[in-house]
Amino acid sequence: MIGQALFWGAAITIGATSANAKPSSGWGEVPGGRLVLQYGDEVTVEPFLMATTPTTNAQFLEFTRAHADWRRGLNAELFADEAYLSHWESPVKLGDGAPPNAPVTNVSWFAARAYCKQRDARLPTLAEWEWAAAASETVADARRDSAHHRRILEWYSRPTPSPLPNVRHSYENLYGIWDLHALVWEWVEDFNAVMMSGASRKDQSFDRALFCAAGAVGTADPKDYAAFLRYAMRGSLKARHSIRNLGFRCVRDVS
Amino acid sequence: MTMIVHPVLFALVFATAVVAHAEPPAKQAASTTPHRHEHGSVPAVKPVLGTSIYQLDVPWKDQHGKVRRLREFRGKPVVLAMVYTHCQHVCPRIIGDIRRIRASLTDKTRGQVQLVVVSIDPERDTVQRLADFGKETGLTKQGWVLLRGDGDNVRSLAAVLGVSYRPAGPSDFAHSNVITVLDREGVIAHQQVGLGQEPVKSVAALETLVPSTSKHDK
Repeated sequence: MIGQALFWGAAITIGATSANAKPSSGWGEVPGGRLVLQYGDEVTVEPFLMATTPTTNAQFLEFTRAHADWRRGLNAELFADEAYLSHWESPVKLGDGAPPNAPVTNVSWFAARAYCKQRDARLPTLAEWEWAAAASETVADARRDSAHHRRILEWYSRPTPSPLPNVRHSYENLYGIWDLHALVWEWVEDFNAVMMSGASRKDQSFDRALFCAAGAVGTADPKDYAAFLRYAMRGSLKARHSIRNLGFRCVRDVS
Repeated sequence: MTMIVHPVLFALVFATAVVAHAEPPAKQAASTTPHRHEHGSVPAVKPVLGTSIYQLDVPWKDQHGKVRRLREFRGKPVVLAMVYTHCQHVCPRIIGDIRRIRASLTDKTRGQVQLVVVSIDPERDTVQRLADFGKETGLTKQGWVLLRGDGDNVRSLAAVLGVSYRPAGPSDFAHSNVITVLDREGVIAHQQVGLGQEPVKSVAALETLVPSTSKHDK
């Protein structure tokens, strides 16, 4: 308990010593802010700590060693589908297809949540993730920076390599956080906050029967196609899906 | 030299020893998770199937303030939806759609189906609010269970059912409209998606889920 307090004290002190200080712990400090989400809501994000990289295969392996009910084959079917950790050589061994420092993927939302919970952490909300991801190397909100946006879209257009590269792959943003773009898609706590409208914009009655009061995704900034892709991805997910290029990272409240 | 044990003393000691080692009657094992039972104990109930939503074993409170768990409904088919009671325009229509399903069942089936709604707005849908709502709408009298719980658990249940929702404005929600039919093991048997659907498929699913004989199943 005291050890933890000292650790967090040190981490936060390190983060606060200068504007450009990068965290030596595994957590970056994200300050609070306001942003407009793609379905039109303006939200306030409180300051929080975010893991500097996505959770790795090695970290997740350690978790499954301590929690057998999250090993492939022993997990409840309800909480993960057949592709769960399918890129690992065995339920207890990574193998060549799962480099230890590559982001773990093929993990369901339930598995990601369980991992964060046992680290006294949680998944980021969609707003928290988008807010952290708005930052470039130098600027807190780089979403209107067309060069930065082009860079992100260019990454999104590349096929997913196999095996995945190690974390700290793309760029380290203002808060010392890596890989929010250009490595893997990432689970958020409220992925099912996104409701995708029907394919036909004219099909209003279809939408009204399926969803009450849901705004169409993409209304906030029609030029932010990268964001549209992320939201569309989230809207297509089911919680037990295990997908080859979908991983996660955890966050902690600042307290 | 042989030991002679006084027969009455022996009988008393023997009887005491037997009583001391007797197993207590096996408790109705409430656990439905894949379990590791203590050596020697016998589970009274087998674990639920791998896709049963009852594996989401989190606590809720009903409109009477009683702590409930969804696995309590094991053994009965269930109709389950996620709603919030403050919506004026569209939300009560889900309840209306469940009423239509209920009304279309045979009397026998209706008596065996458990209707459950869970609030996506636990902050405003307090126990008292659910009690009032249940009374105003007559749902409590009809035997519906109205549940509220911790926000994380609401998100988990929505995730398990495939329901989407988010806050929209100060007191409203954007949400999908899904009515779920669970079989007697808590496995999703059918989902009615979208408001105002004909209840035919949900009704058919429920009618096949009630036992056709009056014998007790395990």
